[in-house]
Amino acid sequence: MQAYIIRRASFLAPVILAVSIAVFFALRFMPGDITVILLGPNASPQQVAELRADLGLDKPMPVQYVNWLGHVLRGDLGKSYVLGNSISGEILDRLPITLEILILTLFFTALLGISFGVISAFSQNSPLDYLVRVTSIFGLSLPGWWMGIMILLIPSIWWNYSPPLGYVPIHENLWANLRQFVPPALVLAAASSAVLMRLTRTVLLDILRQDYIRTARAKGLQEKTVILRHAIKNAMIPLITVLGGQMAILFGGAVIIEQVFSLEGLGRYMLTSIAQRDFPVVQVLALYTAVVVVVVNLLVDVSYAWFDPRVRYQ
Amino acid sequence: MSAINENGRQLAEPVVRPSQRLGRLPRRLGRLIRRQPLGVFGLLVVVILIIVAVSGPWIAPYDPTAADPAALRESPSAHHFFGTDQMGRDVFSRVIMGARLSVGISFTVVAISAVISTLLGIVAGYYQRWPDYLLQRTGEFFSAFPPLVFLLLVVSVLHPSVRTLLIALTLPVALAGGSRVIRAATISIKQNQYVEAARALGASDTRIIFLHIPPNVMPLTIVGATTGLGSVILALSALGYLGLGVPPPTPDWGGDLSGQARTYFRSAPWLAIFPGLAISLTVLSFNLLGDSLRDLLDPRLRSRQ
Repeated sequence: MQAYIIRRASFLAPVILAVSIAVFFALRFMPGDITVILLGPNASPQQVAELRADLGLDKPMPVQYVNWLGHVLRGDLGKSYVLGNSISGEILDRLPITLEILILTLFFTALLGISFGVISAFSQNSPLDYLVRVTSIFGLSLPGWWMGIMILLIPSIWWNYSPPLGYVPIHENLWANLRQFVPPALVLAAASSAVLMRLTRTVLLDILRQDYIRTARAKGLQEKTVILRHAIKNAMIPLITVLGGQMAILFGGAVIIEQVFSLEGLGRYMLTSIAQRDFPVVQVLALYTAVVVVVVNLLVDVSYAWFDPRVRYQ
Repeated sequence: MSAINENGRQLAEPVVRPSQRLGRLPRRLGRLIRRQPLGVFGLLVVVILIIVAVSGPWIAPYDPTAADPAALRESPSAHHFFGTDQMGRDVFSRVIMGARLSVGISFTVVAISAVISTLLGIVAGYYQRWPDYLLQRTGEFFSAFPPLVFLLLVVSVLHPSVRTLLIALTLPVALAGGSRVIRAATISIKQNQYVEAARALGASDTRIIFLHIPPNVMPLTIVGATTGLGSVILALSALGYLGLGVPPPTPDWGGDLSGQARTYFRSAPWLAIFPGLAISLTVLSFNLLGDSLRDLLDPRLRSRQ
């Protein structure tokens, strides 16, 4: 088990390093000069040169990269070019927002995806099954951000209702907080729960044909026990893989959904930083998402080995 | 082909003379509609969409970029079916012309990436060893980026334009997306006897890769491409909404929901509704079609029935 984890983990560093290099150099080819953005078009060449030296932009690019990486590895994420504040502070401020969206989304995804998948599989080819499947295709097809716009728009036109403005932390007012966070999480969960529902159905239908299910039924177990202990337990492995794989997509989804619902999370931070050519922030955020996504993938693989002993010995 | 997958029922039917064939066509169509009603619906919408995209300029009642200061944010009427936007442009015409962009970009992206990913998948699965290793590491590299974040970075590095969008959308799909499925299929296909037979007859690797394996992974490519069309349109519209799609005033479903229009959604909801419906209906029909094609073509599903 340990050897397996170590082997899988050894792939992490190269991937993360490759991502950081790609992002670092790509950003430097971005059109739009940061000095023009900061100083305005009328700055004297001397001012520009001073600023470039100040930001470390006068050194060759590989040197810049090594310097930056050195600082990041020592835990210094640097400062924003535009706001001048510490990036780690800003991330800590915004993290609870994005984290709450992602956790709620994962919760809804698992809840809706697995339960409807089970319902659909156990009533295969019935009108109910058909309805669930068609609904899931809708969930996959409608753009989440457009559903978000509609969710904000319709109550505001019909009932003059809008969710509370400005971020309300969960410990201050749970109800107001949920009114802010449940709609974006549901919208994000629409697509991912549809993916999960379809997979749950396929996997369960496959499992229900297995001999051990027939044995379980033949020896007189209650249908509930057959479903929960025998069928769903064995379906968990592929489901976890897909749920983990959805993490990366949700991360990207958070970027756009935060924009729709005006939530100041990490996604919006990323958007504004890209628009303002705030390199240090974009670099850190790209690195950060890459680390999270790769680590989640690793955890998924490890849980795979945990659930299925066969994987460990390959 | 259909003779085999109907559990031999077809084979028992009497031989048909060519004159009877024509009479069978409506019946077969009727059966298809009964079996795959949603797939047929999807196909129908896709066909209409392509027609609209090709003949857009002749269908659109107004010039989609012509601003009319006398008709700002007019609600839907007999003159303007979908109303007018904040610059007095006809929303119906913009939705029609937006089909051009969405269909054009998504078909181009999917066509290019289907060819590349199929070839890469076959090569990796056929040779395994280092080409396979390379493909898998590339896949890991792309999987470390949330898809939308990758698009955001590429589009802002390269300047928003149609060419940039094509590059940004094609890269991840071509290099990482579909090739994994093709690779897995190739690994099992190359152990088939007919590949061995081809090799015994002196066929070169290149010949096998280009002639003998593709027909057998084609169903996977087609199914992947159809659902790929839907996801490319979704990604394109997301970029448009974030203001990183094709630069205005080009009509673009996602782009028409961004920028200044957003401030008027409450007083002029048709600005938000119609372009969004167009995206939804398009992606929905590609997905419905893809699902039906999967039922009909995917060898894994076929053998299980």
